[in-house]
Amino acid sequence: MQEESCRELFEMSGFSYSDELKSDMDEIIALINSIENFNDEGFSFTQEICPLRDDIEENPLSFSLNSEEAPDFTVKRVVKP
Amino acid sequence: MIKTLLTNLSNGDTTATALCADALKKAQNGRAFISLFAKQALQYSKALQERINKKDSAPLLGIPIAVKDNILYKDHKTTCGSEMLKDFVPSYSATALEKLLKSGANIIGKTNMDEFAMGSHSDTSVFGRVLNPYNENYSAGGSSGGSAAAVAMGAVSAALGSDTGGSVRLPASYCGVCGFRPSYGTVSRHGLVAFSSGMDTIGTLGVTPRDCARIFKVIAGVDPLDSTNNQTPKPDRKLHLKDCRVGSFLEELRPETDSDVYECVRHAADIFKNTEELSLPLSQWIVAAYYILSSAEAAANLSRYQGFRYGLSAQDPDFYDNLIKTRTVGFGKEVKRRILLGNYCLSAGYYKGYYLKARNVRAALTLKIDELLNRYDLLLLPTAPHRVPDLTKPRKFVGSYSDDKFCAVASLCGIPAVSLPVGTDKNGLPVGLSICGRRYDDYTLLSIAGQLYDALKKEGVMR
Repeated sequence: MQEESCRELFEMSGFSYSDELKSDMDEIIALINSIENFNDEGFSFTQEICPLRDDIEENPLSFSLNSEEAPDFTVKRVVKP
Repeated sequence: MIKTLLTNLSNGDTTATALCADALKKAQNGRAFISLFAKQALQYSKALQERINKKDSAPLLGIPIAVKDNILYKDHKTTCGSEMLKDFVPSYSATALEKLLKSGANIIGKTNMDEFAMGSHSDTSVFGRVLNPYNENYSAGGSSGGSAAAVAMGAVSAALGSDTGGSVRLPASYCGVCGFRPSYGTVSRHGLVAFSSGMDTIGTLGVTPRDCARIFKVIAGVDPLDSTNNQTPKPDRKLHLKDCRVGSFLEELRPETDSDVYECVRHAADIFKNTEELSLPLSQWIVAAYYILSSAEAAANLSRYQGFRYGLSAQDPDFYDNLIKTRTVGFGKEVKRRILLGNYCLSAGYYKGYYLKARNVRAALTLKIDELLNRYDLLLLPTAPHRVPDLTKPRKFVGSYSDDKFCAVASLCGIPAVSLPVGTDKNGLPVGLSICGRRYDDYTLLSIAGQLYDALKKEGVMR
């Protein structure tokens, strides 16, 4: 992986750049890059693998949290500039 | 094991308080727990004992249970083993945990884990590495290593873990206990801190498969707070061990498996009488597909830790500097690797070559495994290819990625799988056999695992 594009990746991920992590990334990419050779003709990911509940599939807009069931998302820590 | 404890409690041979005190004493060891609720649990045990005295029939009444520290417990710290959430106190509890409480379980503490459930050895926690109860130099497995160790050292007879790519089954295998990953969609993920939402499941660890089944029965069921939790598991088909049609990947995977590990799993597999050897479909792409998909989802899920909504904050007045400083300090190396990989695979230039390919590997694998499970009741494979790793020796982190291949099959396909202890390797550490079942046929799978456990116990294989 080129250092310049790697620096962009770190920035996009919200991390300071590190040579050690860049080297780890190279090792991981070497492990996964064979997948590009997978012939995926005729296969496509469908919702059958991760189906949603029937009522949501039939009418996606019908899904909403009941306000009584909704958890209390109280923000506990806020940065004060 | 839980059954025995319930009988002892109802007969008056022990009390909920005595069980709780014993659990808390044993839980001090091995860095298995991040937090223990000693005072609260002991106090609560008295209330539970009163219910036992009144012949209350709640299914886990008075039983001490441990819960992995990525499952929210209202007003109790939930750290995910991370600096990022070291002081995070949730304002609500996970559905699975609520169900445990309603069933009369006594939650004694939160267990140690790999940071944000990313890891295979429970060694990426900010609270230190979980020690394997058999030998402290060896891996306890990850990421639910604390839950597995808590069961193995006898602190609890069952625990909750989470399993994305093997995080319940691998530590169960390394610690010599049973670990069950349910079918995706049968247990609510509401309140489970998200890693890879399409594969995350809350699983159970226990001394026996029946312990896992007992906890699963309590936590399973449709929850309106999780849109993917849409299935009720099917009733047990009451199959007998000897009548099961079994497909085995043991021979296919033999070249990748340590010989002593192979011998153990082969011996256990031979107890089934109707077994055929099969080829593992798409074998060469499983690891890549799992890491691409899980990391892509992790990158999205963990983008919420920006330093101003929850958790750690670097307190820098500049928004961008605060984000970079918080995430650089707050996340450990392994979590950073996964986020980087996820963003890399989702980036414009690589999306088609990596992410879409991985998604299609998943679709193809699921199709093929489903076809096999139409012909066979169960599929067998070793839980891990190698014997339990000695963590005092240097090792490459990508080696651990490759070792997840066997567990990743059930994860990618969303099918249930259980890891059973079936013997020991040449170092005297446990070996696990994984049994995968049909989607939503979880109770049948656990019932057969229970029968196999009994058969192995009769042979003296179980401790």
